[in-house]
Amino acid sequence: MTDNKDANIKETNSTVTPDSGQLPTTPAAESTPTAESTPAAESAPAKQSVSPSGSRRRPPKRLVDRRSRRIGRISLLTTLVVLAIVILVNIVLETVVGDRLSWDLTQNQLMSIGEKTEELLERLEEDVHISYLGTENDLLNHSTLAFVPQLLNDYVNRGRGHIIVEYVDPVADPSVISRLDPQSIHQLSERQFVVQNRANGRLRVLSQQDLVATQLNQQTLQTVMTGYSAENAFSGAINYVTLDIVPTVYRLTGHGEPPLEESFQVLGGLMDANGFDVSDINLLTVEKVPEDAAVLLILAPPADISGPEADRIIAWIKTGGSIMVAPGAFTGQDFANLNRVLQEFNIELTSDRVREGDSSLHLPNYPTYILAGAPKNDITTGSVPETLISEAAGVKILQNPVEWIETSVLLKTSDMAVLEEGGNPASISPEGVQNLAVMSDSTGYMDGTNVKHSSRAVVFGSSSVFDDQTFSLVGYQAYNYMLTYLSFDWLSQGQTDVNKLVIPNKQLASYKIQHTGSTTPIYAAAIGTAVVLPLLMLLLAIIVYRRRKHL
Amino acid sequence: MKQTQAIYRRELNAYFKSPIGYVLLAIFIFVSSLFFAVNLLGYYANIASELNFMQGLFFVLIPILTMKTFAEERRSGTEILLFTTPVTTPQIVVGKYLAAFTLFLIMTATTLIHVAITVLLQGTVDVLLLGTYVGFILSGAVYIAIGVMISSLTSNQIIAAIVSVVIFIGFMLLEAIASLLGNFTTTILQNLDFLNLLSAAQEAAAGEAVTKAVNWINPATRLVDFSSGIFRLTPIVFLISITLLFLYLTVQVLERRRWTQS
Repeated sequence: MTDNKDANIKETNSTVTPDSGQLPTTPAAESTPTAESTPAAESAPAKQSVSPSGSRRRPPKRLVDRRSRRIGRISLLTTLVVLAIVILVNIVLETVVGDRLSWDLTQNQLMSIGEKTEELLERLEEDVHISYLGTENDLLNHSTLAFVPQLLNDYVNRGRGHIIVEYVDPVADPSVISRLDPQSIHQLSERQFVVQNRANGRLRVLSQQDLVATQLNQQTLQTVMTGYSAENAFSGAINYVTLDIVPTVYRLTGHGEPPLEESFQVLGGLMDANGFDVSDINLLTVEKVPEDAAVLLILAPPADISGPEADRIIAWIKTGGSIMVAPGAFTGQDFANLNRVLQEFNIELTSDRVREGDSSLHLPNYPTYILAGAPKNDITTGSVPETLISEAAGVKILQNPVEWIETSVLLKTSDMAVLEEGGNPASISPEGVQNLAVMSDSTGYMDGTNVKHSSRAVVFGSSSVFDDQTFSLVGYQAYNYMLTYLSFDWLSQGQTDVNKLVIPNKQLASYKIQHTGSTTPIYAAAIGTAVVLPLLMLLLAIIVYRRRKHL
Repeated sequence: MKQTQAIYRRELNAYFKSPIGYVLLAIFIFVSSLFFAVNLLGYYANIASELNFMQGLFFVLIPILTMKTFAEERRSGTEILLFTTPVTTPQIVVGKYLAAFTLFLIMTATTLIHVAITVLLQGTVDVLLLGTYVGFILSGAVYIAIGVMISSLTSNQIIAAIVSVVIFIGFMLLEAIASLLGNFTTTILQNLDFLNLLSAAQEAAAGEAVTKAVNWINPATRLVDFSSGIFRLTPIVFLISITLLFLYLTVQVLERRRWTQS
């Protein structure tokens, strides 16, 4: 190879004119001097110049420099061309293909929208702007929310041009806050998502906490993440800002009821997703239930309501109002005033706890954690999975049949269940089917002019049906989640059936080892991989080193 | 092809006829297994997060893997011998590159032991892991190509290793630098726009565009999708083209040295 190179150099050297020192423009000299070009040089051995002493002469430095420069120029040029091609190919691919050829490999399809959201986007006729008050990089670098930009891309890709996502950093562009919320009603701040329908001006603000489901660990008193609610939150917000009518659920307060964020995040998310506005109401201070109320929710009251409250609720029921009642964990509390309200529906909430006798229908060793059955009725229309309900009071249908009240069992036990009277395990009723939830439809107050709707009630023996602890136990496979939505849907009498957005939270992928036997295999695997294998490699390295040393 | 194979075999043998191949394997296995073992003792096994963690070690492992590729040949004078054999420069580069890449694949393959243990202990091995492996191997391919090119620029292995480390750390910092450049662009536009020709949103968007552009050329940023579970075609093409680009640059560096005299 060196000979070839020398031959090439000497061939060019021998044809240099002494005056000009110009290189000839032979094809061999012009071509890029690669290994492939050397045969051309080899074919001209006759022109080699040899010094009188017989040794080969080195080419003049100036000639070599020129040649080197030319090689350098060609090299630089081709490098730039290749670089340009690489950049161009990638830009074209990014533009033409983009995200179209991408697959979500996450266990729970975290970065893709589901069927319900697709249906929602297909029906979308107005533009919805999703603005993140921060940079995209903030999210990409976030430990738990790095998936959000990709999820939003999916909304854009399937939104038929109606979903517009923008990232605006309020630090760089402070005017964005006043642009999105001119009246400062929502007190926007950094790292919030604003979902807005600019046609009707309606907007919903989502915080980063709305995108993940969390739960308080009772043992460590730390909040732990249990899943992702981002799709639920975004789709719910899109649904909300595009709804024509926004029904409101009023949650009765004033008796120490826990806030939704504390124990009923999933329920709150479900209502948000389906376009319900949720507001609190204290009927001790407010004289009547507002007219825009779709449902009055009496959720986990630690004590009975007062007489005046009962009167106000009954007054509202007489105008076609609907209520949902779900007491907290069983305490044996007597709800006399609440029962006065429920009498309007032929229902009574007892102060007896339900205990399941069939061990296959309760959690092991916990007979009050019941897997309830759901018979068919206006809410449950097909066969459904079991529903977990715990520490529930019995719900009685009063023996006062009137033709304008139609009452049905929503959840029931097996025929081996008993009622612990007053919560006393020693004092039990005879075995039989016990009602855990009842629904009732009363047409008694309908007059076709002032009252056009029937009054409805759904009474659960316990709010555990839809509390966060239950969802963390049964996930979304049990009937609990669907039952919750269907109950609200039935109570609001179709006001929410615009989209029926029942989007379960996405579970966290679990990488826990399920091995339950002896710990020996785990210790063996840990020591074998982290100690034995590296030592083996080091031993081999020493052997090779010693062998080479003696070569 | 035969010439490439000959160089490939010679280079791969060289890794295992000296302690370097075994030492690299020992380091890789020790660190990855330590991560795996600590999690395993807590009844947890996520190989994808292990691979993401190991990518942070690339800036140490890959320079050691590639530093001698060409620098050692040049220092010991065997580069001339290589150039005078009937082998083209691309064949030399590809042969040496594939040898280094094979050692990297062997290192990666050792993590399959962890996958097997996870399966045996009834842990979760999902399809996300496949994407993570693809990302891991492609990023290794890019970094090895860069390391090989750096090695071709110098006759000193240590300098080759240090320059590679600096470049790889640069990639890691490039994301932060991209963000700074974006903010800097926005600030400059705000200060220069006396006539208010651009709205604040446009100025912010320009800064964001600069950040995106810098991140777009950063292999480290392009790999985020893989580790987060998104398998996309465009980053794969990007990483392969960057690998080929650096191999081409290596060929150019060697060609120039092969055919020029000074």
